[in-house]
Amino acid sequence: MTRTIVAENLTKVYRTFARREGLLGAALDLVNRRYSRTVAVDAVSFEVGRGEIVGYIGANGAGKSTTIKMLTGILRPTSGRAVINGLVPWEQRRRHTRNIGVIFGQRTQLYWDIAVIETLNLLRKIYRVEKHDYNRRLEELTTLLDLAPLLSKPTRKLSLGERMRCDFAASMIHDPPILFLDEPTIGLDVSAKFRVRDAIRHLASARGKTILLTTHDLADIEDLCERIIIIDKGRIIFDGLVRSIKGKLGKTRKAIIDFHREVPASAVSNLFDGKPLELEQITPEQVGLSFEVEAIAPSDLVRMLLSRFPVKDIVLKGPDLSEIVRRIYEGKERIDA
Amino acid sequence: MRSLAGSLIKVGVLETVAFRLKPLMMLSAYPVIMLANYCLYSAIFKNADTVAGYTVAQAITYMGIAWLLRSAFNTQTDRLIGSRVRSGDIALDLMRPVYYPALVFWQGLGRSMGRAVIISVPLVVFSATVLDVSPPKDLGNWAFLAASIAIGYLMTFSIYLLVGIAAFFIEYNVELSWTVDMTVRLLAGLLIPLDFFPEKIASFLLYSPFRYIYFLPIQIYLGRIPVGEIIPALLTGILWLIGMLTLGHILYVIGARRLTIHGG
Repeated sequence: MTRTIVAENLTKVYRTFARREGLLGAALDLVNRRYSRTVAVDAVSFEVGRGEIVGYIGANGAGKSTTIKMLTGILRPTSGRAVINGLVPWEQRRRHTRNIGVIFGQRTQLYWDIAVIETLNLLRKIYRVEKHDYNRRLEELTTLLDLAPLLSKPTRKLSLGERMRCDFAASMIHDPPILFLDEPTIGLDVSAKFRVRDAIRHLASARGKTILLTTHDLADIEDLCERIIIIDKGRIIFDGLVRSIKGKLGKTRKAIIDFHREVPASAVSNLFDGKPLELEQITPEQVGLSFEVEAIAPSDLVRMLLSRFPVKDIVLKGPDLSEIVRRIYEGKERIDA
Repeated sequence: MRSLAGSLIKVGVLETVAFRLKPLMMLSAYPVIMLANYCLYSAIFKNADTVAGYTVAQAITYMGIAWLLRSAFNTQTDRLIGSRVRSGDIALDLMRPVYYPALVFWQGLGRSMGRAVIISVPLVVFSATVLDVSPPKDLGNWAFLAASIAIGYLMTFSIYLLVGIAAFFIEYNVELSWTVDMTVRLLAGLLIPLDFFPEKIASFLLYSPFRYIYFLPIQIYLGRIPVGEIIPALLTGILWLIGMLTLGHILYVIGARRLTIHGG
């Protein structure tokens, strides 16, 4: 597989100053500052092959955006190197920008007060796209993203979902082989998310784009990515297939049990005395129960519950990526990358 | 590149006319200050035929032309750069295959052209009819006048660029921008003609780069500078420009390297 993105020991250290509290503290900060070093990204290495969609996930402040900023060339790493399509992003920034399309879900690259089409026309000139290619691409994007009713409106009048679709078009005008999508679905409603995902899927499968995607919505990941990289406190803690993380860590089940009468969680706990499980009293008649299949087989659990309590309903939930990732973020799961 | 410049100018013009009331609000501010100057100088000249070598007609024309130029020059590119840095949107600008100072220059020129049509043209009519601003002294000097205005414009831009790039280092440049703007108003001859300063200060100010913004074009307009001195003055202005823009370029390169992009 061709390696489109290569990052080796990428490290970014920010020098931040520790603010003192209160008015007096703020006054002191003006004359004397205490600095500390924050390692935002710590020796991160990975590779992405051509045509891959890789999910790059991590809790807030884990270092995702900093990594993206370095890979797009606008931030210089403290140490380490990266080569993307044969270029070092921060050394050959202006050439590099022609190879990449970037979306920051929290920002817009569209001019706020003028019609969307004007921004797109300007981008055509900025990237020196031939008129003929531009018209064809614009037509394609208009169909793909349903832009026809939006192009003549100023950005400030678009809804968030509409704006995101237009931002997508803006980042694709120069037909870059590589896309960095930093939270492209943030704040979108369900149907807008589906549209954006459809577009991403189309760009990867039909157009062979290499895509690095960060998101907090793991449904995006399950829908789009075969492979994920998980970053935590600036370090990569997992790099592999979504399938394999589910296989490794997906041995947790969650049961939601409804009873005909009130049953305290402690009574359920007594039944499985000594077995490792987490209990939660959801309502007086409902108990949630998380357990490891290695400790208790799901079939045994159901049988024991039925024999002892007046059970109305049991819902068993299997491995769920968001649950797994939550447990990783919270430090309840360890994985070996 | 030329067509990119054209597109950036177009965007600048479109931004200026994006709201129906915006041009009107911009237009309404200038007659106020111009009228105030008119009254001030009419009063000053009540008991004197000339002050610092100016007749009342020349002084009123000086102030009128100064604010006319200001109305087209005032693109506030420095604040624009500053707010992009503060919000982190500068990241999007730096992710284009375009030299950023050139990008803001052409866009600023677009805003200036929008302003020239919307504000300056009506103000010319206002100045000529209400304020007794006189036409230029000698029509033979128009080429020099145009050149000096171009230099003045570029000088304004280079100052905007320096203050804007300063935001790369100090993160927040609004106060700096305000301070520099006030200083430029004084030292470039917008608040009062430079000859009105005490002689020692005035002779010092004639060596500063600021005088090319308003003072020199207006001196040419009024015919107060001997023709033989115009070309050396313009050439000196160009040298200053090269220096300022080079400094802007160097600071930009250093600043872009160490820039921290704000926000997630």
